[in-house]
Amino acid sequence: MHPIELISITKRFRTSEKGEGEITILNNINLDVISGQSTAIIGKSGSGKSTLLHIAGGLDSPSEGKVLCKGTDFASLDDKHRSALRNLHIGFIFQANLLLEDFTALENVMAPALISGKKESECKDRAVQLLERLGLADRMSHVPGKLSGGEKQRVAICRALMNKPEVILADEPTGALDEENAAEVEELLLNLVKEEGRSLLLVTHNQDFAYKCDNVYLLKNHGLTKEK
Amino acid sequence: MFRFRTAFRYAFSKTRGQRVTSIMILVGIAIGLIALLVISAVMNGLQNAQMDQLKNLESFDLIVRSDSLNAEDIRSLSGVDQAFRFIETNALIVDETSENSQSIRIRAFEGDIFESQRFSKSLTVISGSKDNMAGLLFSYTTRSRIGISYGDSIKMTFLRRGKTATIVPYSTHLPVSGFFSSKMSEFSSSTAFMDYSILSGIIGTDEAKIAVYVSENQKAVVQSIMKLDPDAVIITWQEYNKALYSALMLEKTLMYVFLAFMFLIICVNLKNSTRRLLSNKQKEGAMLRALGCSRKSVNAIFLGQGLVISILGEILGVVLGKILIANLQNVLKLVDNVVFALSGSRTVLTQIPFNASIGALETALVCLFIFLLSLIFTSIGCRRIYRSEIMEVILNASY
Repeated sequence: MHPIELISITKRFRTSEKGEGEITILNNINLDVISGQSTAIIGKSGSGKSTLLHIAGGLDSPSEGKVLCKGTDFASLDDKHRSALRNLHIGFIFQANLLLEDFTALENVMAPALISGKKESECKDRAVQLLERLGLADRMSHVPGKLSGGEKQRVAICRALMNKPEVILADEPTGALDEENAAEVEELLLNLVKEEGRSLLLVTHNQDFAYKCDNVYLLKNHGLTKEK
Repeated sequence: MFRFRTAFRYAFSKTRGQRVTSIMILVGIAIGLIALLVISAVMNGLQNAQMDQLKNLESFDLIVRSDSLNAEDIRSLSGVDQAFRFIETNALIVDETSENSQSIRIRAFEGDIFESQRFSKSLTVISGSKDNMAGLLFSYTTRSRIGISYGDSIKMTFLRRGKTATIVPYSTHLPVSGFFSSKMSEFSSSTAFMDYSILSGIIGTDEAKIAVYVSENQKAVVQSIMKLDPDAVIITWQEYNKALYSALMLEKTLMYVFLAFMFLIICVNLKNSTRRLLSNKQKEGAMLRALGCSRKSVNAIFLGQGLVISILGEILGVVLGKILIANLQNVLKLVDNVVFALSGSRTVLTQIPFNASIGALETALVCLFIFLLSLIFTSIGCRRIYRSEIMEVILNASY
């Protein structure tokens, strides 16, 4: 059983509020996120990469097809159980500026564990450990406004790994960073995912970054083609 | 716990001026609550003082008319503090020295009601003596009005039951034996006292009633009296003062209604603040969902931030309101001094002749009312979460 399986996924959007017309973004896509491997999806802007990632994470619903997370169809779950499944088995990393602004770096990392109902005392050690591993020991008490772009993204990586999820979904994790910071974050992310034995589903424009992954797919003309 | 912590952080978020808005709303709620509590306390104090005077002098707690019971029977009942038999009649009085006249109600009590703590609390004999009731005891108001003095001879004309005719006039002369003052001007200007045996000798005791001061549970006392004499006619102080009581309640209700309108304005601000926060935190709302918060939890966080502001505003309002009520006299003096310093004249009431007070239940009800209003308006502010698909925010941000 794969951590995430996408089966015949099609996603259409209405072109107007009245629903008079529709455009197809994704058409009959099948993808398995293999345990312990990293998978990258590349493609042009607007090709539907992020939509595919959100569907894979249960944040959005497909128009047709099924998404299985640990063998459970997201569509069969209500919002509460879908959220709990996401909390425990999936870690998200977004492009930038999606940290909780009023919380410190440490609190941001602990957030998934606190949402799952753990007490602060139970999860603080792991959060501190992750931040230290990513070189943020002296930034723990800083709010996102006081962190650089690279630091914010490292905090986001720690947060995604906090609940030891089986799969990490990363949406352009280096998209808003300069070259130096982007290279650093790429390396940290790939190493950490490997060290922790997690699966990675990555969406990126950056071909170099993508080809460091075990599998690479190109999203083009609403369909996926395996590139590596 | 996480939801509460997040709601609290969001309520006082430093980003995009949220903290200033929240503090302003919190202070607004506190000021509104202080106004409600202080006005309620003053109204209560005013009502209680008026009702106390009425109960002590005019209507007593109960007035009983019974052919078979006497004051002693009622006094022996549990819950009864004191009971006095009394008669009253109207008379035309003429001061023979000044020839001024006035219609007045004359009351006469069997036993020494002037020794009663409740009666003497509201009425003071200033000159002459209550022990010398061979004459008439008038109020100072009556004294000023018709110009009588101690020892003056007063001609009194009653209407009493005749031997052949139904009603006949009867006149007698009595001296002025003293003066009293009370805190009820209407009572003072319309009432005089005289000896029970003299008045009963003139008008008889057919219309005698029993004035009852109750120490506890008025309802139980009424039931006990009805058990002793099922034919007894009992008038409670609420029935006796029904018109005034209703007017005071109406006054208080209207005041609450006007103050509630003031709160609506604060609540509209609360709703707008929630909306603004929602716009500021749309991305974070989406982020929380991605981290595993359910739609309900995210909504609870945004609802919670409004309620945090409301509850803190209420706590501040109750504390400051209670302090203000306890020191109302000093505050009025301060206001008076400020007004005097600015205008040179004293226009503010510097001494309130009653104790402003508000009970725990009334305070709790006022707080509950404000809490419910806040809940409703914050919910209205949060409705957008239910209406919009919050994940669209992340999609739009990612494209």
